[in-house]
Amino acid sequence: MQYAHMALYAIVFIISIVKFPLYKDSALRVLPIILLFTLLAEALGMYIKYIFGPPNAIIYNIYYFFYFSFFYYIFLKIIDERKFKTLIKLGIAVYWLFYAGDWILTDFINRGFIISYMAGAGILVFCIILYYVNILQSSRVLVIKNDLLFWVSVGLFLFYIGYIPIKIIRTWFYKPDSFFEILLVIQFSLIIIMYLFFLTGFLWMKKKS
Amino acid sequence: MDEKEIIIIAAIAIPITLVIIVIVLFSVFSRRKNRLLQEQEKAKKAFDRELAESQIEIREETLRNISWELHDNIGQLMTLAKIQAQMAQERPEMLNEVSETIGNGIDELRALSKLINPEALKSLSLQEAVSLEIERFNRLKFIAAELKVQGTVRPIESNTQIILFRILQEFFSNTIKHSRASTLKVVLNYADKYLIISAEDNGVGFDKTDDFMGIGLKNMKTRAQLINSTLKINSVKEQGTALHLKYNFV
Repeated sequence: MQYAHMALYAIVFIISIVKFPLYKDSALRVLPIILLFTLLAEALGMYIKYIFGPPNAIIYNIYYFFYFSFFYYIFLKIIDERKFKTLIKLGIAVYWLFYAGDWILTDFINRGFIISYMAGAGILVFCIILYYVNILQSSRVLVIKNDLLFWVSVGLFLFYIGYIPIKIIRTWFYKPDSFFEILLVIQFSLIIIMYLFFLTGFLWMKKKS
Repeated sequence: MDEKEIIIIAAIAIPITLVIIVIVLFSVFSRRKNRLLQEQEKAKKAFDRELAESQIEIREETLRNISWELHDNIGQLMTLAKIQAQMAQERPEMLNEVSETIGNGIDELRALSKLINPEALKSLSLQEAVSLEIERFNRLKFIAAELKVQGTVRPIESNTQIILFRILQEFFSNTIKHSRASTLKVVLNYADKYLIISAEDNGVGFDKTDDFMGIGLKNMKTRAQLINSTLKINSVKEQGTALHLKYNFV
């Protein structure tokens, strides 16, 4: 299962490079960096886990900072409503504050940054909602089918709506029990759904005139 | 509630929630898209209607102008030529004057023929069409009119140009018919993103509560909105009326 999602990461990354000329002039140009970061972080995480044994939390603790920050940057640049931009900037500040707090308060080598991750995911969902409101208020909705960010945001939105409860359950109710495997299956399904939406976006996208 | 129950609830609730979100998301977007398409269709119909009305009004105005010129200008010249020709029977040296008068009549006819061509506006730029109107006002001594063009002239889409011209023509027509003005100044200012048109007369002005002027103004403003423009008309009693139109190229 893990190799399947790694393969999907790689396919989506390659397609993002192939389609790069279509979006190189927009804020979405950081998307291949995010995808490459994800691929490398997952590969490195798996490598450390299997070769040296856990913990590999520090990889993800660093990776999520760039991951969320890049996505916030994309939404900040794409959304044109000034009020929404201010809210996103505020969200970024809040996330960075939580992230800094986690570096101080959490054992960053052995434990994942739960609080800042939750804050980051929540703020990302909030950015996506603002992006949707922004689209619905404009005529961009007419060509939304060919908009890469729309599909990426649907993938992210569905992933985090599904994953945030899983993360909460795993953090606060976890027991080494085979029953928790169900959540793992849902989590991997969510990743696959998210990446399939990314893939749809890359395949359907058209260059903005 | 133990962990197992929580996991079972989560395992059921998460997929259901996601399906509901997908359905709601796509239905909201498709409804909004359909509404926008309907609005666009409505706007296009309104634009086409106004365009057709503007074309008809320009033609009517042109016919009125032709009739006016034939009667007041060319008709007078031909009458004069006839009188001169009758006099030339007794005084042959007057034939030169007859020839000159007929020549003037032919020049006037040529100028008039430009107006009769229904495709004239399509082949002319806005600046040329306005310039012809201004020349006509001066030639017929209706008013001392002047046109200034500032900036680099940029082409405007022909349908938009028709509506812009009709707005100006309506203003000119009101100036000549009602304002008793002696001067009319028109400025076409081509900036980077905008075309700013100003037209100003020194007539009697009008009161904005006047119904007749109110309807005319409303028509002009509606048309301006259809072509992504803003129109302001300011009038001061006994001082004159000014039109200010800002057309957005983008």
